[in-house]
Amino acid sequence: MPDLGEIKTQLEQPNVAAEAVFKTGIVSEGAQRLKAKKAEKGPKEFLDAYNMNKPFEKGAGDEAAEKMGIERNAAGAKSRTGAEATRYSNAKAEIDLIEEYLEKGPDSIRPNSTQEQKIIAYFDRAIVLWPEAASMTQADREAYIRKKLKDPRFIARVKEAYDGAIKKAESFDESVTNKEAEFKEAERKRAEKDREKAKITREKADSAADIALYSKDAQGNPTGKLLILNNAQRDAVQAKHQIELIDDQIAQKRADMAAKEAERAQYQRNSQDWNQAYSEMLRLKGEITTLEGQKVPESRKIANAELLQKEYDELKAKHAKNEDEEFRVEGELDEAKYKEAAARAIYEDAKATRTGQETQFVDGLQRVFYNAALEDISATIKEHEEYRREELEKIKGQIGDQASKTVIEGIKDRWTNVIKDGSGKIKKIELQKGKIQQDYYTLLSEGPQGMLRQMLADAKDSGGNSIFTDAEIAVKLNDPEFVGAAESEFIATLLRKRLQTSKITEGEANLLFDRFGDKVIDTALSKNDEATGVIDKLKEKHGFKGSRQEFFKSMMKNPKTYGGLAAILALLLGSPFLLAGGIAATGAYTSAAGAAL
Amino acid sequence: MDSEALRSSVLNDVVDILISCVEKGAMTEEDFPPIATYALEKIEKVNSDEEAATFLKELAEKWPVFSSLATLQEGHNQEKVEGEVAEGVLQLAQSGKIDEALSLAKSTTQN
Repeated sequence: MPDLGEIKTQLEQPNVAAEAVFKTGIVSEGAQRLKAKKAEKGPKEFLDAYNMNKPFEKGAGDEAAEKMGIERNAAGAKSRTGAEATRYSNAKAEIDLIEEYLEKGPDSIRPNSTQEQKIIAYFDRAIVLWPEAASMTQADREAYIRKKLKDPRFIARVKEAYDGAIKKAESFDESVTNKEAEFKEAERKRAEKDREKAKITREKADSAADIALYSKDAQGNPTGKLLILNNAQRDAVQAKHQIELIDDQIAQKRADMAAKEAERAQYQRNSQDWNQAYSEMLRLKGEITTLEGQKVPESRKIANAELLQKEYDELKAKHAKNEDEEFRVEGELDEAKYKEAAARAIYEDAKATRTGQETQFVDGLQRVFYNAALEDISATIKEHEEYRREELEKIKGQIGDQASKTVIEGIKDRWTNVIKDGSGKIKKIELQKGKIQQDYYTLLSEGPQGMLRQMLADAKDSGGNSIFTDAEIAVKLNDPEFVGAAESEFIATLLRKRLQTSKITEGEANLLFDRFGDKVIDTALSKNDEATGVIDKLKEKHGFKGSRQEFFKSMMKNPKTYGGLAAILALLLGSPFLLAGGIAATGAYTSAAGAAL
Repeated sequence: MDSEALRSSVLNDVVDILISCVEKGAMTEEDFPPIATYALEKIEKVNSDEEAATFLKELAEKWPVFSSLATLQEGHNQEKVEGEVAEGVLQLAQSGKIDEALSLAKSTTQN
């Protein structure tokens, strides 16, 4: 097999790739994607994706539509509601319509049905962008569109546009689900902090309420529990003093007891003195016990005060702790709220992006017939332009006169901007509307000679210098042979360009036929096989026996029968739309005749 | 190489050329459908190197970007023929059929 590396090297040679349009990141990104696609699918399947003869397979559209929607029910299943459901049903309606057309063929669309009207409306939105077609009647356009709907090339364009439209579902932002989960988690954490904050606030309120019981009145006198505590503390001070007094008495009694004990030791046991001393000792002991007993209520007062104080201290500590805790939870709640807001913003943003993507997806589906029609119309115009350019090239090659060549070159390039691809093939032909308008009005106001003068004056060599001097131009314009030949070429072409970019009014058409009608008719009929084909059909239908020129002139005498002078002019100039669709509305030409083309 | 492998190899080269063209901005994906449709329809008839060369030649006539591929396939086929002839000449010479060997060698150089 050939060495591919060698071919690639050759492609890199300037003579092969010099005309490559550009080498941007987009191009290489596209190439990378294609390489990955080839690696994944293999060469045959890779090519099959572009195969225009591949039978249409249903299902891809539904699969794409099923990706729509992000809302879920409590069980986590997709549950489209509101706007999501509307978008989904809109997408499904388009998918069903397009797939019916592609799968079962154009004949499955019943004439005048809602479906057909919908497709025609989509096509019509595209076709009216071309003034040439916009000047057709609605019935003419519908005849053209119905014919186009059965054209395999148009069906292929619809398929291509449809594939492109459903492919957009592949780039739906699926991260929205994760972002929703992140938002819900942030929301849950914030709610948890809310509950925590509510709890600590409640507890702080409780402790504050308890502390409020230790209050003072307006005069600053303690009330409530503070009064109780103060009283208890005052009682405790008194109790301590009382205990000290008792303890002094007890100490005295104990000293007295000790003295009596010493005294008793000097007496004979069980003697009267000994018994007396012993009895004194017992009395003292009893008094000490009594005094000890007197200390108990005093001690209780002290303990009570201490207990009340402890309770108060603990309450204050608890309240302080609650305040600290509330401060901490408030901080955490603020952070949780911030995170929730941030997650919500990210989620809403992703949701908006996703909504935008789904809206674009539906828009894309709704534009399938429209885009296919645009492509088709562009191709139709391009084909006609290419054909005429080739014809003009042939004419140019046959003539030797520089002025005539200049006019031919002007006709070929003056009103168009040709865009070529890397291989030099014409990719697109754009009409220069401004230039066409300017020349058209020059033609109307100054006549063909004014236009010819302008074309010769505009001719420049490769160095940008004028090719013809004013004197040379004057000589050429006085040459009837040159003027006659040049006029017949450029008037028809300029008028055709005018029709493609704007309108020719009835008044202008009247003026044009009046001034150059014969020239235009003769030139157009001698060089436009398509127009002559249509005119022959019309002649046959109307049973006209004379020449095409005579028939055309008879049409012009009764223009309303044929849709007006402007429509006749468009027919004469070979309007691709009128030729392809027929001028059905005028009754002069049937779609069957159009189909014969 | 069996027919299926040959067809796959040819298509592989065709796809590589398409991707190279996209890479160099000389083509866009929009240009693929007519080429893919044509290639898939015609490739079914390719069962030999000669038919592969014919296929690539016709492809290159429609889309000149494949001309190098067609030329290389043709060169490859020619080399193969020459190799087969050389083998034949050698075998004839080894078996002492010198005149036949010379005649075979001459027939190739005259083509």
